[in-house]
Amino acid sequence: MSEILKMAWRNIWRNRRRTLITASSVLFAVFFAIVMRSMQLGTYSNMTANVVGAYTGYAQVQAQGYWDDKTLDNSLDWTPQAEQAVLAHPRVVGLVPRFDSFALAASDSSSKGVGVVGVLPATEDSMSRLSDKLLEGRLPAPTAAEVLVAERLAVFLKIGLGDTLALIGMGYQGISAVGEYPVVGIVRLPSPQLNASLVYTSLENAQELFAAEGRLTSVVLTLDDPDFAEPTCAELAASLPEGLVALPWQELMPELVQQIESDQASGFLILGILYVIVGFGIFGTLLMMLAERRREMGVMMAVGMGRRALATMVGAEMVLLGTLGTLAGMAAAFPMVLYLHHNPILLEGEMAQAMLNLGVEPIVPFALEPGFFVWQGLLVAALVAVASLHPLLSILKLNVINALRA
Amino acid sequence: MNVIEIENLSKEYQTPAAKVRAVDGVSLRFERGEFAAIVGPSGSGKTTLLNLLGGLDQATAGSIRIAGTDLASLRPGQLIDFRKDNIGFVFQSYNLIPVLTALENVEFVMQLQGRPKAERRARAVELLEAVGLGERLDSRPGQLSGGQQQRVAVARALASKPQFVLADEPTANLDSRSALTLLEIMERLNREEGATFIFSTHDPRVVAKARRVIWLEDGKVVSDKTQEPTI
Ligand SMILES: Nc1ncnc2c1ncn2[C@@H]1O[C@H](COP(=O)(O)OP(=O)(O)O)[C@@H](O)[C@H]1O
Ligand SMILES: [Mg+2]
Repeated sequence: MSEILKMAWRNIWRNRRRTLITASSVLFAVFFAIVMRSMQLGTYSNMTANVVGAYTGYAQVQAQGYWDDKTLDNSLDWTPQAEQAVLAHPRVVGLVPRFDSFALAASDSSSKGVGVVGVLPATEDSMSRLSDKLLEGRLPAPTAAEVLVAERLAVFLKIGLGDTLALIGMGYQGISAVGEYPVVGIVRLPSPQLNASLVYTSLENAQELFAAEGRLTSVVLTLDDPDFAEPTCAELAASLPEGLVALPWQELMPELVQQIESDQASGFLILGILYVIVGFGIFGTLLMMLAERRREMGVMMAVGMGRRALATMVGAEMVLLGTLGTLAGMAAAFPMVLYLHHNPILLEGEMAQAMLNLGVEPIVPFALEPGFFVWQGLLVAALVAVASLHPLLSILKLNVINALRA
Repeated sequence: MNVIEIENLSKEYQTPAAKVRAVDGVSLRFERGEFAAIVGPSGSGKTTLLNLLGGLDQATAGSIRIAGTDLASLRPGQLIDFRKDNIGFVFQSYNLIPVLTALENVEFVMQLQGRPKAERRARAVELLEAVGLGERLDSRPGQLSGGQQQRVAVARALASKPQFVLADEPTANLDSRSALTLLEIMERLNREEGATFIFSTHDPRVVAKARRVIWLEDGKVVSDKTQEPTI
């Protein structure tokens, strides 16, 4: 056996150039696959962290029907039982209550339809990091009747700190909602859409404005591990009071899921094509090598080497070649992925704008997942095995006389 | 005592155009220690006959008995073992495993036989010295001349202490000096090792070295004579 390995090792270095070309094609495939996949995974988690983590949350409790028809009639009654049921789940580590509605916002000079979000400022801040995005002023006080206005909206309405903003809307059960509030802060939200249309105020003030004391539109659940949003919501379904539902971010943000999936699919398609090309490359190399070494194999068989030993030798050559290429590809990709993991690429231009439109920081951070490196290794091993199948079978059927006449 | 008995041996090949009788009703006997040449023009059936004799190819009709064993009665696995233990091969060219050194090439066959390392090495060194390559043990085939490569091949053919060595035109690609050196080495080993040598050729100077000359034409033996070899 060690003799077979020795011969296999020497054989792959016989045609140095061919070996290097074949190993390089494997190297390139592995390198490209790892870099591309790390970029994809990093981008997805950046997107979800920005879009989902910073506003929607990885899971929400809402009243049944609110998701399809976001009116205050579908708001929820947040009872102590509901709160207990949710907090009893081991993965739920915190709650961010919200009261969301629509109103017409008016300043002295103009008016515009806006979203009004009532929040517990400190709790909301720990999740949405509003204070990091403050341009001027401060967050509303915990129960105060004051507002924080998004940057573009403030520009549109031509208002600044200390000015008064009037909100006119429709409250719970059709009661009219009217109020005037001082502007205490201006905030820049990453999503341009929200940045042009959002007004924050304290939860209590929002409830009062919309005549909906004690009611909420949604409760964002903070989870210990965002990857478990779906199962956690499924488990909560059983313990929540009648009329409440728990929705994971995948249901709250189906466009994002779809975008990730289609991007993922196109990534896999590219990888698939790449692998097919590399696979045929290996296959071709093997066929060429077998043709060149036919006579030699005939001699080896004539002096008593079995077909199986021959096939083992050639198989070992392919394994060595594949391993060499894979390890080299990993070695080449690792420092690059490591560097880009810590120093994400900053996007500019259209790409950046497209991401900003989604409310995502325009950076491409690379994911560093050891699991993916292992998968790559297994995939290339399988690829080499598939490409080697036919040539190895042909060795097992090799006829001495024909081989010797080659 | 007869080592090889060939009885009415025939081999036909089916080609798209017609049936070719490469070996046609050959009957021959070889005794232990013979040094015999099979001579004939290209296409006369020399290679086919040697391949049949070496158990590499199957006859269409007739039989080959080697030391009492009918080759046709052996199963494929048994045939491989039989070949390993009883028959040494030398081919026209590219005989050696290119990635192994001269020493490793000679050891290779003994390794397939499962002989212990020390014994293998001693025997391989002895044989390579006998063919005049004691200084080139660690050379790869690519670093040896054609004549030297054929000498390694002869050493390898003898490594397993076979009953006989089959050499198909071993000198065909050699210049005449190397060819004669190889023949002298083969002849000496034939005496020293006691193995029967059967080699094919169409080179008259090589024929002159043989003690027995068998002429083939169109797959048939047309003449079979012993002679006094020239020295
Ligand atoms: N595999 C084969 N298929 C068809 N014809 C063959 C095959 N091998 C040999 N022959 C034919 O058999 C005849 C004898 O060939 P061969 O034994 O190689 O002769 P030699 O070695 O004396 O040149 C030739 O006519 C050759 O064309
Ligand atoms: Mg021939």
